Amino acid sequence: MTTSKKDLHFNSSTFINKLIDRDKVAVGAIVQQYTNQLAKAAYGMGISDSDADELVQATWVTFFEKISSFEQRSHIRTFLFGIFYNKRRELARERKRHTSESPFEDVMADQFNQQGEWINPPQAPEKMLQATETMEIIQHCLELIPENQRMAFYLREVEGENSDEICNILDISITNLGVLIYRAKNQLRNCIERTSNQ
Amino acid sequence: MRSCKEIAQLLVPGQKLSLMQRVEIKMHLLFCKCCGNQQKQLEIIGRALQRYDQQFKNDSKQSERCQELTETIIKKIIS
Repeated sequence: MTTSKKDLHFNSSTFINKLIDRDKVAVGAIVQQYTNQLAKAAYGMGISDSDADELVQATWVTFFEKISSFEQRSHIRTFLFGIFYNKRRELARERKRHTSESPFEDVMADQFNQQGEWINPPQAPEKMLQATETMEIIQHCLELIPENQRMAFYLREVEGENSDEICNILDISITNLGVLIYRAKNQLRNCIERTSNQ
Repeated sequence: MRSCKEIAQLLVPGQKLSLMQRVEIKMHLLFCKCCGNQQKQLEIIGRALQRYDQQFKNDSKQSERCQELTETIIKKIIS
């Protein structure tokens, strides 16, 4: 996501001081600007509508509680999304939803035999095209991916966020991010392929 | 020629690849149908997600919901 003029203005000390003072216009502007993105990230990936709303609200409440300690080293949007993803992780832990025990952990080991050949060779892509015509299968498969992989994947592929920012938000190294995204992509691919063959 | 597994490892994002490695990947993808299929499948998934993202932006029911949510939050923070 490219940073617009508006985003830049959000990072000025004057604006942040206004947020700390709960200035009506400033609060309105920033909530208006980012709620859509937060909501999309929440609705888009396998939590119920009411959980999603609650998650977005809780994120903003924490954001305003913590804004006075925000050190402005990163963009305010990174700060906000960091809070959001922590809350999501908490929620996932509470619900214990497919988080730790993914049915297809360790993709690299599962995908190839000892000679380094594909165990289940990827099929012609036409089938995939059909399977992705509706979001249902993708949605279902996204839900099965471990939370941290899903977040990394989402930020990168859907939000088009740059790597440094994702590493900041998720608090991971760049190597780690690469592995997470690789795993997410291929688990998703495996799952869609299998589901569309059923 | 490198194995599919080795190529998969090179395709993990976030690595600095040498020119030689990039050529090896290209060559492999050219000749290996399985890995080529895998890449095409990943592209298709990527495009589907982008489409979904667009749909969400253009969906009037969703934007109404977001607007309501935004107003609730602003009230909550300011009061």
